[in-house]
Amino acid sequence: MNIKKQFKDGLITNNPVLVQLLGMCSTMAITTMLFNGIGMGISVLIILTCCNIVISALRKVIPNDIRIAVFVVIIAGFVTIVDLLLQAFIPALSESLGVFIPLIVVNCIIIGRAEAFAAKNTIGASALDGIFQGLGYTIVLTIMCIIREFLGSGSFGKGLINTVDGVIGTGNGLQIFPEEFGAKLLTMPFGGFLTLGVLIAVMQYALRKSKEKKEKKAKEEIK
Amino acid sequence: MKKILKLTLILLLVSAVVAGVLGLTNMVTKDRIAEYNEKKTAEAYGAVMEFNSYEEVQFENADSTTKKVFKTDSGNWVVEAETSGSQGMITVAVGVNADLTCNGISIISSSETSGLGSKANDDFFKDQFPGLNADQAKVTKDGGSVEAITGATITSKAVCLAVRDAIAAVESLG
Repeated sequence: MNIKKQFKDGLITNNPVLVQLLGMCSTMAITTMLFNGIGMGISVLIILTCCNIVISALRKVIPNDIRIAVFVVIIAGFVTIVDLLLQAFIPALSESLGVFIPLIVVNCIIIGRAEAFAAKNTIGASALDGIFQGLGYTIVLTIMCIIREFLGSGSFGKGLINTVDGVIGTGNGLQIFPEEFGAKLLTMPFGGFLTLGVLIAVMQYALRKSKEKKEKKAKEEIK
Repeated sequence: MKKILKLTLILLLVSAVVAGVLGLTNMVTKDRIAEYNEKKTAEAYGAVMEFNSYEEVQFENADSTTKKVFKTDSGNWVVEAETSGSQGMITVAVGVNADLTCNGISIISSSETSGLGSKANDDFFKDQFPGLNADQAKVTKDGGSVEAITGATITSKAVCLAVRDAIAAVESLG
């Protein structure tokens, strides 16, 4: 088990959104305000970790022929549990995310990690994989939310920061510049495409730079 | 043959366990969800019409989006409608005055896209409805006076339809 490598994989080198390009639909749809991004990220993190643990625990019992069906049943179960819990305990978030919580069932990050990692590795490693991949997803969502919310409607932390009465989920956030001046298109779905495209480009650039650096170093050492 | 039986049994077992866990979760959360929904409905009713008490009036019309009609003690009406939005059903409370104008709307629940259709519950959209009659409760493109939400025309039209149906329902009940 290599915790450090898993950590780096989940957050940077094998980031689920920016490198594996999984779970794009929810990424673009819900990242309009910070509250949604963090809520969705944590929901996925919890579901992914639970699914990874259970699937990894059952990996030797599940016959290969029906593994996808079993994975989907387990994933759907956890998603529904989280959906019900959110409706009962954080209704504001449940309303704000709407249909995207139930849609985590078909989010390819979860089935992808189940198939690529949990089905082949120990429970401990799978749990860590769930946490780190989930964190990677959450971080990307958070960055996208901050960019889109700020440029699109000129605010920060909508829903999360409540300057009026302190109830989570209803706050209006900090207005940094008036909403009329915001580039409205960024809050629309194709604004999500643009933001995500730019982020992926930045990520690929950074990854390539660090790879070139490493190769250069290796060459120098040979000399 | 034996293999198929084994696969079926395993899948059945997994599904049964998951179903059991879901049942448990449902038991724990059911009451809280129902309580929250009730509170939201009551709040929505209060937001669209001022009243002290109301009683339900029988109304049945499968073609109408109107699902429940309440007559308030002040002689005005509160209508609960279910209208089909772009992602699913939108449940909306509509206050209708005795003179068949809309007194206000409030979204009770919807699964519209976050940031687009979900804006139907924002004040800038809701505040357009008070005072409208059935002819005016259309989006501007259809000749009415409701400014649709940017990027959520279907949602806007669905809410307008709910308002028109609500007024028609009240009219038919007199």
